Amino acid sequence: MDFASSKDNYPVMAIISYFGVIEEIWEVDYVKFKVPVFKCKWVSCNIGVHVDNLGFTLVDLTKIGSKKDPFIMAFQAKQVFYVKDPFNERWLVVIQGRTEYDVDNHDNSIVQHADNSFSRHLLPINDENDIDEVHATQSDYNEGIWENIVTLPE
Amino acid sequence: MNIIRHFLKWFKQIVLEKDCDVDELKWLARGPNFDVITWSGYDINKFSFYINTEDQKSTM
Repeated sequence: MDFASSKDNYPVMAIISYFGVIEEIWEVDYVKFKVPVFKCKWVSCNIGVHVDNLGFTLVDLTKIGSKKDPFIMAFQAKQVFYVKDPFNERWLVVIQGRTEYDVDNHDNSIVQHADNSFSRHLLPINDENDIDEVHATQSDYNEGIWENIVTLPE
Repeated sequence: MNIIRHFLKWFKQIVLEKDCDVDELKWLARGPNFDVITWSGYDINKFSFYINTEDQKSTM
């Protein structure tokens, strides 16, 4: 999945998600515009991420990877949450997105839309990339090999 | 890292010496201010992001 080295004879293009934690938020100042970037601690795509039998994505935040490449453009980030599994403290469960609630009109019960709550290994490409304050073009996305998922543990 | 250095040089040359008329590219080529603004939180993509140390302070 990962790009092991430039000597790899069989490179494969794939969209992969990077999981991590934001360490610093910078606004790089180019005088006429500012570019927000996140400096992150990434989990190693090789040994820090796996998908269990039920399809949950699990991450081990102690397995750090991509140390030389900590920055992403802030607009590339999506938010997920890391939930501790009491049966296995080492691997945190990745929960994607906010849970939306509706009140059912008939009996006022709360209907929970769980569609997006649990992550698949590949998250959808950021289709709501409508905020473009950073003067990057959409083609950044098409060429992109990865999608960065920046997250906050809780 | 070599490639990045190479790219920066090439980019500056193309944009500044050949008198590119896209303003944003010119500002980019000149490079950023070395003073950087940092934040403990940031709203973007309909999310509120916080740096890890800030997030550890929050309660459920």
